[in-house]
Amino acid sequence: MINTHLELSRRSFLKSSAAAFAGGATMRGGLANMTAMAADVSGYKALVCILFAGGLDCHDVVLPLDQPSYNAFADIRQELLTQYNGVPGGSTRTRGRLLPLNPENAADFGGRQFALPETLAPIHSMFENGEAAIIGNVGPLIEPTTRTTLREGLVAVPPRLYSHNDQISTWLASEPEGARFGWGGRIADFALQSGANVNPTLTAVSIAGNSVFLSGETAQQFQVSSRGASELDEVSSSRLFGSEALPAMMSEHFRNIGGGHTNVFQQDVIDVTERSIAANAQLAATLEDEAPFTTVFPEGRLAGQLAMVARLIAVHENFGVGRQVFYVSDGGYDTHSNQARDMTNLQLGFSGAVAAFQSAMAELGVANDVTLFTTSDFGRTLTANGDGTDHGWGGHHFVVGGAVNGRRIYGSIPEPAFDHELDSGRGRLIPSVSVEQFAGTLGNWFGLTNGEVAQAAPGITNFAQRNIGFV
Amino acid sequence: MFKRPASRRLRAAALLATAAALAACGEDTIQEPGAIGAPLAAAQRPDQAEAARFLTQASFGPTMDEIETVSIYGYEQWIADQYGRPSRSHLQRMRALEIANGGEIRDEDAYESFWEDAIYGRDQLRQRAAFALSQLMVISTNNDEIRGRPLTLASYMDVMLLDAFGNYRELLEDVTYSPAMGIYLTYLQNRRADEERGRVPDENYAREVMQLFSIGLVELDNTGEPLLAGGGVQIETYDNDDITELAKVFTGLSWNGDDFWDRDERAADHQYAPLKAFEEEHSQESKTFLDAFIPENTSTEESIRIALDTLFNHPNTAPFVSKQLIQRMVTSNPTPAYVGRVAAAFDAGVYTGPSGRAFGSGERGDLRAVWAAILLDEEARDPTYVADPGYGKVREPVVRFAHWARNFVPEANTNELPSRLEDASRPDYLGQQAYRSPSVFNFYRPGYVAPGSVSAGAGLVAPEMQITHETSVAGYIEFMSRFIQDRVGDGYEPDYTDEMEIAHDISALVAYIDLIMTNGAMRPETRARIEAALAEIPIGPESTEERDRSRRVQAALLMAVTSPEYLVQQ
Repeated sequence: MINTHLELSRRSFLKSSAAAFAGGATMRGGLANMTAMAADVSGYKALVCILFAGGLDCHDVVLPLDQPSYNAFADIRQELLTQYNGVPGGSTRTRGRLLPLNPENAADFGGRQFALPETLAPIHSMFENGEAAIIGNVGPLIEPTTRTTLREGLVAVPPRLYSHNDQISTWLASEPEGARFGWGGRIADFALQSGANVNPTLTAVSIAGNSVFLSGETAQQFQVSSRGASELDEVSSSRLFGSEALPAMMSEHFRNIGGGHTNVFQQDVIDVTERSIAANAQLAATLEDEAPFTTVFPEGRLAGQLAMVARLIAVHENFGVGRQVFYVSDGGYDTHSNQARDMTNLQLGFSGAVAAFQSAMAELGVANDVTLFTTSDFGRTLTANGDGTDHGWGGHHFVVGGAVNGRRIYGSIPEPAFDHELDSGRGRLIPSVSVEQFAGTLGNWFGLTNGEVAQAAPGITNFAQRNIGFV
Repeated sequence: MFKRPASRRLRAAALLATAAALAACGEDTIQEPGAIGAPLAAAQRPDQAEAARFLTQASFGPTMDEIETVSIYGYEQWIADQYGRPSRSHLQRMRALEIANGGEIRDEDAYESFWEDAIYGRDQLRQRAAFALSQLMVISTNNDEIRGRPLTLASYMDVMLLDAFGNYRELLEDVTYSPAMGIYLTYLQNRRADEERGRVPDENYAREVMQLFSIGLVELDNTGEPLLAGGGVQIETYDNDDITELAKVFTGLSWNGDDFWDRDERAADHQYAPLKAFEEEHSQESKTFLDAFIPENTSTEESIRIALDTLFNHPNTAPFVSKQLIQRMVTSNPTPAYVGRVAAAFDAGVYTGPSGRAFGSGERGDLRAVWAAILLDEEARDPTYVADPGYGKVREPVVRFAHWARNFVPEANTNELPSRLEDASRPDYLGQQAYRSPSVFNFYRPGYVAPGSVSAGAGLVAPEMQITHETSVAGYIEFMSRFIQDRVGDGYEPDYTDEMEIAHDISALVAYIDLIMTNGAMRPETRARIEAALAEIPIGPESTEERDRSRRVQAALLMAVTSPEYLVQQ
């Protein structure tokens, strides 16, 4: 029988585990030199993470445009492109309909040209306007890796590649399922240490359920519904079951003050309930009934979540926060089948939602203060299985916002071909930019020093370039 | 060793016939307690609280009647009796409804059928076991292709029910051939490779049948603990070559029609008949994965048989499956020894209870041995384990609601299904609904660690904490409060007549609710808090007496189902 002698109270436990971490090798330097290397938390800044759950097919996002590359792509994916011909309105993947990208760093790619599909038209406009950048072929890595070093076993690679749950966790928290700290939370920790937020409750906010991404040592995820505050009538009403005394008694009961529970899971549900009741009352009092901007968000899961992020950003001053990290998610990207239909709808939903979000940020005057970026479990195979594609590794992602050094493609966009040095098989791309480099760049923008970035994304020390420069 | 029927077709026919046979029974016969066997000698009887605790793990929640049955006849006779009980077929009910409604039938009808059987089925162990299995082998209407196919959904629900007391190898096969899984994991109409056109087989099912349904990602010892290579590194069970090879096996399956490309509308039984093999679309190449080799030109059914035998016979399967089923019923962090004992029952196909009664046929994979091993194990039954602060699990929200309804909603009040039960998975409702998870990874993962939590600090997993957050805890309170107070519109109206009779005696009312809802585990502080609240609801004169008594019962129930002792079962 395990844990028989686990008798620490939860308060002393949390305290002691935090202290144990602070005493660890990685943190010691950071705390000792805090004044010398503390995060810059002036002004307001927010990071917004979008997870494309299921594994975004990167090959169906950034498409080859120059004729030889397009021909190679069309040959490899002929069955999938046939499926696109059957989509209402005709294929958005024919070369003539693609939206050409004109990156400032086109020269880096020789004669190769790239394009986005029409379904991402708003993102294309942002790219061309310099408000969006593409990070090509980013993904989990332990150290720089190529096909040769992979095959010869010369490099360590992340465990459980190609597995959904483990790779989402690895992307967002550097470890497979069971991870306890995500880099969003760790980045937030340093902002909190520098006193960015008078009230820490809304430092790390999810609109998409629990995500380890937002969990740090001190930063704790708070979940807000896309419908707004979840205030309890049983607590806020003046009477309950005919009694004026009961709402207060019920509130005490829900929060279990002095309940004496020693079971760890009971303590966990009590903690969540306490946070819920306290912060939702504050949210209900602060969130306006009407959004404080004229931008109308489209229908859809992602748009609904981003609309709530925008509404929370609008009132950030009322919550006493100078640094925030948000997490939203959309599912359905596991396109083993029906990819032509599903990607069409997903991309339309994503690009419409982000366009509305950027418009709202501009209205609120915080376009330069908010940086949005995308993540996913993994990319997908270049090979098609008929009407879909299978699990891959590296993938292409977007970073959007006024602070972004946009109209550039960072990282690499490997050719539509097999057996090159970034192909681990069937076009499952070996990443050329690690998640830690991606995270570290965002962390620097958020105000973290290089030393703090190395603690928030420890694996970054295996890579020479610690800031990719996209923001 | 489990023996396969000679032909897939026979097995498929047998499955449909079983569904029909179940349906022919109609309403299951009410079994009087006396039919179970002999009452235990008084000294051997579990007390009522112990019986309630057992039923918390083995059913959709105790009721007073079941508590009495278990306390008189004991755990083993109750399980044996449950193994003999018939179930109703969801599919047959859906088909009857389809005829009655002139062809109109919706997903919500299948959900209504689920709730009715979870709440009122007298085959409670089978219902709870099927619910556990449905969270291991997941399909979901949260998917455009499953949505709108209620017959497909209902037939899959039947597979869970029918095979819950069958063999795990059989379950793997029935799931593999089910149109629901074929659609959900996209191998229905999956074709062999075509080099010319650059097409390869879909890898989806090959990956998930290994990762989620049978062997998992890393090599395990027979207690479910990862085996470690040098340097403490876990050993992965397969690599991507295994996936691409196994993917060839799951090619050539389509609807039960005349042609591979037939659509499901053409014949009425396509939506639920087991998938059919079409050799012209099945990979004729050899297939090499794990330690299996399937020679070239092997038929679809034979390839699948070999593949599923390989997975079923893998040493990981017994501990991998056993541990997750324990997590669904008893505790989130079973000791390795407990997992090992249940896995041994899986392997032996038989489990012998403390009284000497044997459960299971002796064929490896017999789930009747597994459920008995899970529920009769000392780690499930011995109350001293409860003192361990890491023991127990967050009670699943679907079980919480069903438990309340089992006790307080008369079956006669279920003619209408409140809209909240059509999709209770919204985080501002229950945050969970059977067969409606976001993905094949269920609502929560068996290895989920709740970041920043006390349980994480103790090194424990807490699967159900994955759906426990600031929105869902408030949503749950509101959801239950509305049902308890009869504020959800038509359907599922509670009846508190019996409880109202003791409402003037606050401590008696609370003691009763403590027994049936929290198996007598309510802390004195919690009871005191509920009693103080009830004292604030005076019972007035005749004109308001009924209302006041009802208010007391409702307040007590709301506080009970939101207490930590209820939210976490121990």
